[in-house]
Amino acid sequence: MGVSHTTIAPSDFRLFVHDVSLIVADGSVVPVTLHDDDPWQADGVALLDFENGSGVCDNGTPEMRDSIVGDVPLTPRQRVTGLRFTLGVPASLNHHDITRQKSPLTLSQMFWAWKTGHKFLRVELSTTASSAVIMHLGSTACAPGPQPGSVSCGSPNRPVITLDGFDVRRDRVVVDIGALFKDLDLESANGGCMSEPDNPVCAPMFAALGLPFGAQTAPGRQAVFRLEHPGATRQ
Amino acid sequence: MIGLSRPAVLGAAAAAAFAFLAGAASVDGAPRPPIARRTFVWQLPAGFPQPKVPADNPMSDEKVLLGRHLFYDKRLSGNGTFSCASCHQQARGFADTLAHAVGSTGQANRRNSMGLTNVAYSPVLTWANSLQRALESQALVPMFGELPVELGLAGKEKELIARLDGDPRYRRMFARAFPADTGGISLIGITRAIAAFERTLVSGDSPFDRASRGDSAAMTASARRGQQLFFSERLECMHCHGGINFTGTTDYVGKGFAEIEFHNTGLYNVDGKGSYPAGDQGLKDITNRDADMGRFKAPGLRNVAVTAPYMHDGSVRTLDDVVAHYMAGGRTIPDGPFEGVGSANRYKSGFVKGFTLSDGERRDLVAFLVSLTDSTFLTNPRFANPWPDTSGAARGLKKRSGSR
Repeated sequence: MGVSHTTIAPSDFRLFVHDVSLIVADGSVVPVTLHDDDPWQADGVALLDFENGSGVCDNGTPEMRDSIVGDVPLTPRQRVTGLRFTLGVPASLNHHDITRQKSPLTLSQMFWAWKTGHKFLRVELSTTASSAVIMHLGSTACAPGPQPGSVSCGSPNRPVITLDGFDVRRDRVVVDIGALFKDLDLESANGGCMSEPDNPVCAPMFAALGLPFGAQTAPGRQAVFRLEHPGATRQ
Repeated sequence: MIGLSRPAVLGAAAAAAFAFLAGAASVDGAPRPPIARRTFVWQLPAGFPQPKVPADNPMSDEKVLLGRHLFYDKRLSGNGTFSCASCHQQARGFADTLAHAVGSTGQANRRNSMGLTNVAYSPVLTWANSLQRALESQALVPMFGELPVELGLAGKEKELIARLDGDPRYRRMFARAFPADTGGISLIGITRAIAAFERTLVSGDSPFDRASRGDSAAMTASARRGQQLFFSERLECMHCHGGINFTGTTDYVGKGFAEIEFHNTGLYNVDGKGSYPAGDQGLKDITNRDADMGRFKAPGLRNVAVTAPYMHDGSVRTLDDVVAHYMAGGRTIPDGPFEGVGSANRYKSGFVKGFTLSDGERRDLVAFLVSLTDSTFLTNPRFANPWPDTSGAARGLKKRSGSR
């Protein structure tokens, strides 16, 4: 993995998504109403969890989750052509005391208490050269907002992911951490990236997610999420 | 009564005052009128305003007692070796003596442990975080922070609850502290009880306070001269260290406006462009605004003589060295990785201009700061470890081999 083709062992892999919708043939966007599905989904936010709390992932949780459950009011004439969702936790839910929130926003490992915001994406891995390379995505450049108790962030870091050609009956979404780290040298990742605006290690992962980073503008498309037919890959 | 500044808060206070304990019966078996829960009484020094309390966490004696047990309990760390009190020691004004705090796994923090003296009056918490507004949510930082690890509880919420639930004393204390909550021991209860205990840590019986109340013999002549210097326009100390707790960042019931200040004091200037060392640039680490470079909250100065070393990173050893820093209007580091002339920091507060003091005046100023030491507070049994054994009640916690 990465520019030095480093052998890695993943030790954590979790992410939040929200604002899930389907795009239909006439171009309109139909929101999916996510079920409240304790402990995985609440208030329109879903956790996806690809670690099993054992082995090198033993700091995690045994429960795993690879799906999102919701309703979408499609008419028989509406043909689905795409899938859209936002990576992360919406701003309105992102800066609260987690002891007062509903699961999955209660997870301490998916929260930056210090920055009073959630980690939108948490990927950690170990390499032979380095004990840990981490990628924690979350909002930065934050300051108290105009309303009492509100917070506004200069770098929200919530990529909107649009996947064209979605076959709602067959396709599944792949989250590819190989693509996330493709342009990073994992041999010299220096601990990794916690979304610090001045940490150059973050730049390739932000680009892979389709996000701007510092002076680096957002690339045209993200590379981390793609659609896959069971049994065959397609872009 | 608790927090009378807003109708919503008034409602919560009334609810606390008229909650009833269930299960009381008279000797003859006829129902006895329910016993009104005691209204919480602040034990504040004379003339001290009442701390503000969040509407959803009213004070009660039962909650404070629970919070005190939790604060001193090593079961509140992942590996059972640390409690809040490991870094927040009563004899040190609830700070410690290290330059950089060290957590339960041995990992060093970038910052100096902040004292908790009169923390109830602080509308913003920690050294430099404009977002951190309540003790309830601040408690999550040491509990669950991973970079650095402090108490090391990230991902161990269920284990923590199970540990406490295994102790009948906690089941009793939680039931009494949260009588309306039938859900048993919870994370929300833990942080609320700890916050309630922290709000009781009020110091106001130092020689300075006793002199202010009319005991003219309480302060030495040197300390009284130092007080004059401290409050002079020549030194400007009080601009950032004013108010009841000697910090501009203060709020309380009836104050009208919460005041929150962050200042760059010229401690560093590593690149000649005002930068503080990478890895800790104060408020800029939160906001990413250049103007916030090196801005930190002026800490309150009560009990400051027992909290050495000083500054956000413990890089100043003694109070006399602190005075030298402000006399010079910033610190010059002649060589090494942090070389630079702090007094020329472009982001420096306008109040840090430098001044000259005679050796005698310098001793007087330090004597004034020492007169803020409240030995009643530092030894008050109300704030001490409530557990009978000094191990901090780590009993019953099995060490898992290989766990951090």
